[in-house]
Amino acid sequence: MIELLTQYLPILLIGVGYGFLFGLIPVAGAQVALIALFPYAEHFMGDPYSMVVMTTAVVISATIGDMFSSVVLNIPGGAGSAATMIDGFPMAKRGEAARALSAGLCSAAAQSLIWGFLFIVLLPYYVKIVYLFGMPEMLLFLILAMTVICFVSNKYWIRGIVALVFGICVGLIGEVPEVVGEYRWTFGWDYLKSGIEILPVMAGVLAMPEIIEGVLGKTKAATKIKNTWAQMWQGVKDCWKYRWDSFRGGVVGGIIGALPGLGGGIGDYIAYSLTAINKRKDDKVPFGKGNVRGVIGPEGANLSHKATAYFPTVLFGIPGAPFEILVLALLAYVGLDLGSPRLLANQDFFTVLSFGYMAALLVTVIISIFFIRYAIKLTQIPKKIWFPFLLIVIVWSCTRHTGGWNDYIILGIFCAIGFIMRYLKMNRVAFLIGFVLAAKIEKIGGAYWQLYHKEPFIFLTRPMSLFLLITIICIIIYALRFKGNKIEYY
Amino acid sequence: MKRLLLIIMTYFLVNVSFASAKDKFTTIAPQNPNQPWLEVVNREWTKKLDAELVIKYHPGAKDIPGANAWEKEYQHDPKNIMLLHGGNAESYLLDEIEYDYKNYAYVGLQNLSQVVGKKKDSDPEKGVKIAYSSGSNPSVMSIVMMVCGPKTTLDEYLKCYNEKFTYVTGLNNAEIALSFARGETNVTRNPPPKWNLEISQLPGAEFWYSHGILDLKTGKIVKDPNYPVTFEDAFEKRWGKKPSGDFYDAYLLLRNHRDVFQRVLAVKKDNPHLPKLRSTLQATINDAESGKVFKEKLGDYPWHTGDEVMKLFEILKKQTTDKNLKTLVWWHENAFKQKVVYKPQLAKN
Repeated sequence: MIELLTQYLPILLIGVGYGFLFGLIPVAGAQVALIALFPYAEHFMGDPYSMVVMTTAVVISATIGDMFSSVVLNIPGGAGSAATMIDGFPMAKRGEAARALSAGLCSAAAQSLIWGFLFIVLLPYYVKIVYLFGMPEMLLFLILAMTVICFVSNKYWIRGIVALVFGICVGLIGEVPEVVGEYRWTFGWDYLKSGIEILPVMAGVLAMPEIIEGVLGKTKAATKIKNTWAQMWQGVKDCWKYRWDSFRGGVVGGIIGALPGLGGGIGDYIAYSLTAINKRKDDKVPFGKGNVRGVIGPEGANLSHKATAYFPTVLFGIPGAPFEILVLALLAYVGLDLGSPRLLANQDFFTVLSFGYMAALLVTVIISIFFIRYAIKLTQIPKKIWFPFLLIVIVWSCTRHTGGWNDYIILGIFCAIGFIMRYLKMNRVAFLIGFVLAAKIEKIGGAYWQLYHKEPFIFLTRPMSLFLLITIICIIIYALRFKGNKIEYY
Repeated sequence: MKRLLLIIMTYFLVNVSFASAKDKFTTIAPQNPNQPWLEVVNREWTKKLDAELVIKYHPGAKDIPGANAWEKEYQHDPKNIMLLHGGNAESYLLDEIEYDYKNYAYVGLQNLSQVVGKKKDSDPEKGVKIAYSSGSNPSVMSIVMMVCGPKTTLDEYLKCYNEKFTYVTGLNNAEIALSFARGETNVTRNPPPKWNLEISQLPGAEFWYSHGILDLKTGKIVKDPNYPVTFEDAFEKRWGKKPSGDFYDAYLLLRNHRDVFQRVLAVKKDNPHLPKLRSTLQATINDAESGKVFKEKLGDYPWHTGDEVMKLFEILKKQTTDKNLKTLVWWHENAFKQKVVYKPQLAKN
């Protein structure tokens, strides 16, 4: 281990610093950080294992960096930390940014450690598990995710379903898959031909209404931060106190990451919903208003998802999540072919991967602990300056796609949608989940129909899909019968 | 903290200055990241080129958007190199496109094959489930012949196809591999590097046959030294005679375009770097060490550099008859239910 540390410490530090920086930038995140690595890939060819350390460090540190952006700026650094905003930002406004960040960091690190360890232990059994999930199970899993979002923690489930369907429709705008030159619902606007970018949707619907209200003076400014170290310690204690919320999040993220094809972006929301319905007597702050459990739950899912996404990537060479496509390509560039029997028999690869993962986690946590003190100062800037600044950052981030007026128009449209949905108490998260999952629903639903149209009820004959179906039914019954502890709207 | 930031900044400054000191070329791939062929070639080529080779991915339906963008935009930068895929050659025959192979100069290509595999425990003659991806149509046509046997008319093939085939659309490469691994599809087709490095390692995967290689001197299909059982051999073994007829001729036209132009490196016609790019690629192919890597990772397939590529194109053009084109259009519209166009201007007569 010491030998590995001596050999790879510089690259580890560079990777962590680089990834963390990308995580902090709202428009960036792990995927962008990995893409930006390609021009430098050839420098790693002398020692391909250094690329293993680099990519692992980038993924972990960027994911944790994402959380800072969500809590402090109210803009998700990446899709996996979007749910953290819901309670993280209100906590920051209340002067508890350090507590939120510390609790989130603890939760993410703990689950990352657990699932990183489970990754190593469960690797030999993974093949059997993943084969239980075919197209019927994938489709039902998507339906389960949507059910949780619409029914479980949401008071107005009909509005939730409407929001979800609306989100799916918006997500389907653009080119019809596999059909060149055919576009769906573009209304003659060429800009929509390539579909709608996720950032303006997420920022416009979820973040902008809050920020604009802040600019107009309807939101209270952040309370003065007192005793940062005490807050951070409180965050650690919160994480221990609500360890089952964190663990539940870890399980959700771990399962979603391990199932290739589902991708990220839903684990944190499911974890959030499951946390919100588990009422505790000591819940003093409602969810959505700055409850620390609303940070601990989704952050538990955030890194565990990244850890288990390595399962299909390493074993089959099949990326478990979008960022893994880039990891796969970068490692292939330096000659490490993931999924090949030669690599699977290569003990050195697994040693370096385990080392890179654990060491990167440790270094990122240390950096984050020190960085929290600086990050929270941003929230102390007077609201007259801070909210316009946030507004500028969000607008800038959302208009990087083409840099033209179309980007501004689309952001404006989604701001309006966000305001209307908020006014109507519609589930904005359901809308976003629909948007994110639209392509997957179309793809997996289409493949299911093509493969099983002669036996459309095949899911009734498969144990795993039957289990998922029963779970969905139970969730709906539970949600309709028990009305307590639900969020009025997101 | 300051020290850490200093380290990161220094690292980037060193890299930026190093990068700016070196020449940099960009290879444009019309698909998503994870392109084993290009990644392996670039890694070896860069040693002789003495320049950085970075990959820009421009994915889209049937690989067309990337190639169209090459025609309209990318080719005008002399530091850009286009990797045209087999799917682009297929679309050249059948789709509405904006690029034209005649407009470019060629650095080189590898004359490749396709590997068709199946699940060990499945009998494709009882039913074929295969996923569509860009460039998969010729392989599926060969599987239709393999499964349905010798038929006289296109309608007979269509009837058999409708009865026995499920052609699943909409999945990406990773999902296609996974659905095959899980047994949801029972037949798959892949370029040799992908089959070799990835798909053949999946549980239950079994080699069925390869497309073979087009011999440029005779214009006939010859054995692929990496996968010696060709479609023609497998067909003869199963059905007692070689494949023939209109459907087979149309398949050959599509297969030859798709496989010969499976991986082509193109630049703009008047690109000033063309001589250097050609000579260094040739030197890479000739290099013992790189040659060994290519053989191991990409397979033992012939390379053609420079004007040989244009000659290849002329050979294929002679095979492009009006009848074959019409058969392809009919089959794609009626069997595959794909929107294609008939291009009479491509036919020699």
